[in-house]
Amino acid sequence: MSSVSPTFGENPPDYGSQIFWLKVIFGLALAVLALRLWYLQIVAGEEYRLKSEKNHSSLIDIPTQRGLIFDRHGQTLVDNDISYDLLVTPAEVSDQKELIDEVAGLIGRDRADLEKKFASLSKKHKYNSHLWLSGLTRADLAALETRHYDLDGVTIQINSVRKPTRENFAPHLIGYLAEISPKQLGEPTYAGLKQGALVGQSGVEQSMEALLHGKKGQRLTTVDSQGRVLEELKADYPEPGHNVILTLNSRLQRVAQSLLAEHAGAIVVLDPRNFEILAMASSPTFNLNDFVGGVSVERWKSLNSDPFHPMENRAVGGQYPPGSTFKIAMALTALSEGVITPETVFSCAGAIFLGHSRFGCWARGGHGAVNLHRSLKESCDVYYYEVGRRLGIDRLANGVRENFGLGRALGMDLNTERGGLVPNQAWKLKRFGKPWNFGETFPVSIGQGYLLTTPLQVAQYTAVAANGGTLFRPHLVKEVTDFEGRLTRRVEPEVIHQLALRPDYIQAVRKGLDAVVNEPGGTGRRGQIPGVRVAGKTGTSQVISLDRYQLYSRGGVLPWKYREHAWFTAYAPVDNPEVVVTVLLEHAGGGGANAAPLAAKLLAAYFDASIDANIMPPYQAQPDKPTGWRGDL
Amino acid sequence: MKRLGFERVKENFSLPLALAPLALIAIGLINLYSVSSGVGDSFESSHFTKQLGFATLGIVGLTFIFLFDYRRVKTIAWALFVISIILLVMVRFFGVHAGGATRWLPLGPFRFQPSELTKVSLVFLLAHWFAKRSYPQGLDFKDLIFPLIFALIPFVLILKQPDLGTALHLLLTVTPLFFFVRLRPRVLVALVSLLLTATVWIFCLGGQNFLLERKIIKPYHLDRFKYYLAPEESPNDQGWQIIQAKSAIGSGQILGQGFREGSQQKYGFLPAPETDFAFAALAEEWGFVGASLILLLFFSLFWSALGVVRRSGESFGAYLTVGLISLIFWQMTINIAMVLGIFPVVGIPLPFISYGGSSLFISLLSVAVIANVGLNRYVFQEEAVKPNPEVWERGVTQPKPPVAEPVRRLAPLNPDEPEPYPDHRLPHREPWLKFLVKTFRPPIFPPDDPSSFN
Repeated sequence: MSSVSPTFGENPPDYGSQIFWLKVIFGLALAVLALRLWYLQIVAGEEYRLKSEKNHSSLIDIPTQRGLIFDRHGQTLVDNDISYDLLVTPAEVSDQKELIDEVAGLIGRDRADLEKKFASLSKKHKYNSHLWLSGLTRADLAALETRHYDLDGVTIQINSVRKPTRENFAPHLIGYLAEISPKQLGEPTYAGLKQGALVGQSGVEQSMEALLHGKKGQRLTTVDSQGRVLEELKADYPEPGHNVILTLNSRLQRVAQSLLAEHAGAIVVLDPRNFEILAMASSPTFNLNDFVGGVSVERWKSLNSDPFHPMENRAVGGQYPPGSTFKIAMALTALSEGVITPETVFSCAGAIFLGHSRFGCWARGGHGAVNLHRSLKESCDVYYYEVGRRLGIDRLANGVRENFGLGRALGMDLNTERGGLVPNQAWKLKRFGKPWNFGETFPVSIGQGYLLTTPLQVAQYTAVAANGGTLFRPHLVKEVTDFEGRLTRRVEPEVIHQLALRPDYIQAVRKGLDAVVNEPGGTGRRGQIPGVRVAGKTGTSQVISLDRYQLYSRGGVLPWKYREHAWFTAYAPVDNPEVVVTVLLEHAGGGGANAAPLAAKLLAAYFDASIDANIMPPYQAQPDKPTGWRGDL
Repeated sequence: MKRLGFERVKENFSLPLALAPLALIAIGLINLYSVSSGVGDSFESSHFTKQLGFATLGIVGLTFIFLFDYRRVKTIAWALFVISIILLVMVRFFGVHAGGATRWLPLGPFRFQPSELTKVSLVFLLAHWFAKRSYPQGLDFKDLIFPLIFALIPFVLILKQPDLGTALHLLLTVTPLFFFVRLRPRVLVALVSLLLTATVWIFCLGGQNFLLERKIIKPYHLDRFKYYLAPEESPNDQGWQIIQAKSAIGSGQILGQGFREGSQQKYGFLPAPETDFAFAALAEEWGFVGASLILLLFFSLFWSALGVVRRSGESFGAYLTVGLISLIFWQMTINIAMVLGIFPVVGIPLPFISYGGSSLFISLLSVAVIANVGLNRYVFQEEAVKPNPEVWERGVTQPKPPVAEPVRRLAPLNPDEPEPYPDHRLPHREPWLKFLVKTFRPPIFPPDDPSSFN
């Protein structure tokens, strides 16, 4: 009623509709608030409760020590070093300017830089300690300790960093640490690690990561809104990582690396009795110390754009045609398949012809009548063309795959191990969509064509010939101990395959390999060493087609990248083989002339413990521009 | 006209009106006790004891208000208004500067916030102003001139402190009063179009920049609004407060975490759990049940206050009650909505519950004045109970009507038609329809005022 009459005694005013609307407004407002309350507390209540619990409990990691890596004699290859960091708790700093002046004076750093870093610390959690400076030296530490009581809010934190004990020692085998990648975060090996954790990214550091990294501890505390720790609820103490003892012989490793100083290539030293890897060198190398505390961008770029790929472990990851060294595998396979006997004689006239195609022997004049012994000693190609013809590609491929583990990675302790390639009819059809051409069997028979092996695989079949036909799983890890030195795992030799072949036939092959080094007319006579009888096989694998050679035959110098790979694979002593050495030199020319002397030096070093390499070769060597540096034996 | 007596008090006393504020104060004290015993900072029971003192003082002191007739407010309305304006001006020169604003006057060991007093004095003045005049057609433009000036003077002064929250609260407080007195349709249309234009201008046509350049609003106001829309974008500042308050409330769930067990406030994640975010602290510890109880108590307070309006029987009392209850209502709504994350963060305490003497005294004063209006209604009656169901509650003693029961009927839709028995009119069945018809009906011909013909 709009007719309001305040006069006393008359009808009192009526505010019915206004009161109704006020009730509607009040009721609506309270209903909205109650609905919102209902949503927050009952619909989304569980979520918010979790959020609030996460808010005030804080999980602090307690760092652990990564396991060490030793060689077979117990020498430390990778150690943990200490780096000192300066932490500061902003809330406890009484006078910021004074503190910065003091610290800058003590450790001799730029004041403006310190100030800038201090200003960039988190403002919110001022009761937490924050990393202010890292990488302090011992001298800095000593200077800070003397004035420690005057520096409010400053603490020193000791961090563990990885430290390779030797310069340039087996970088490909040991590997480096780097931040965990997003892909790795999801893998079970890296369970429990957080973004930013340092994990092994190559070599044994990577393959043994699960054992090496140990288990970090955690401390569950309650904190207030400013991050102050109020009470400790729970603590799991850290477990240090396990130590890994490798089968490496450091001295041989040094010698092997030193021998490769001027070459791109690889050396594998293997114990044929159990396939322990005694040394494994790959050249060119890189510096592991570049990776301690994170690799710089320039260094990373330089390593990755280097045309000689220093980061690649050629011994297990490089795939090359094995050349004539493959004749060891061919001979053993052919004997076991029964297509030849040691007495089988083929006639070498310098080449065989298939239609219009000529498949030549390296000796243009031919070898005449060749049996197994002579075929190995003089490395007759025509003999093996005939063997390959008799075997056929599928039997050949299956034989070398089963007997020597070619064409597949045997699962040694390096993640970069590659399997090489053993072609057969099905592969050709799948790869090129064309049937196998009969003539393609011939190059494969002498280790050319589509065939690819790694230096480790060449060492494998040499070792199979040396030990009487047993293929073990090659391994680099000998033992694993826990941080107190108790043995937790010993890697036993694991037989993968036993060659079914008469011992006298195997002996015939070994006789042939002996003759390569020790008989007149053998191709690998530079592999001889005084005192020990060495058996071996040379190999020279071409990287370009014969047509291509014609282009450079008119007197031009063959460019480095078109030269042949030099191979020499050997074992010693011949009667009771203890060691297999395989040398691959990329684009170095003939195997007998270039690779065999290196193998001889290495074998000499194996049998004479006084031989060592004192100086290691330079990093990122450029093998096409030799510097004249010959290593130091 | 009879004097106040026990019988009268018994008949006219509204129990919820008295009990709801007491219960809310008790809840506030429980919250302060819990908050004061928080871990981390030093034990601050002084909040609790101080507030207990304020509450005792307020309840005892304001009981004296019952001794006086509320109509005496008319005599002091102008004086109070002028004093509060003077105090506001004094704040500009002698005020205590804290937190980037000058809002308080030093008062011995305490600080007094004149803007709180201003709200009440403005309500008093406007109630007096409107009650003195009669607006049979509703408020016209010319009727709005002076009331708007009265409202805008303190609004601008408070805005200058700067205290946007209180300034807006002041405007919101008096707005229902204008509607209660009724606005003429054209005023209503003009108001709505003005509001729409302002909204479009501010949000779409760059009015923000204009206001920012004139320093009418500050950049942090815009930030608050931005973080209100997306609190996650600013987890360190305003948004952080909203997120923490929401986590606190949500983690209370149905029954709450228990007395003194609320982890959000215990570990200091909840900002200002004793003042602005008291509701969040309570909701965390007492859950949906406790928080709903608080809402219910407020609702019963509003409901009984509206009962007082209905029974006041006099325009000044009605206006006074509406203004004061709207003061409490907006304060509560803005505070809880802010804590629940459906309103930007502004520094407005929760009445009765938040720590703070000024706020508590003002809220208690409001309730006391409302209760006084309720108790003094007898002055307009011949008898205790009048046979008008519209004016009197039916549940209370209702003697036989003086005349034979007339035929009851609804109010005629056409007001020109004479009403045969206005005293016996039934409440309208469709009040919203009635409101619409009355509001938008063209003026009765011939109009009182020829100028309103356009």
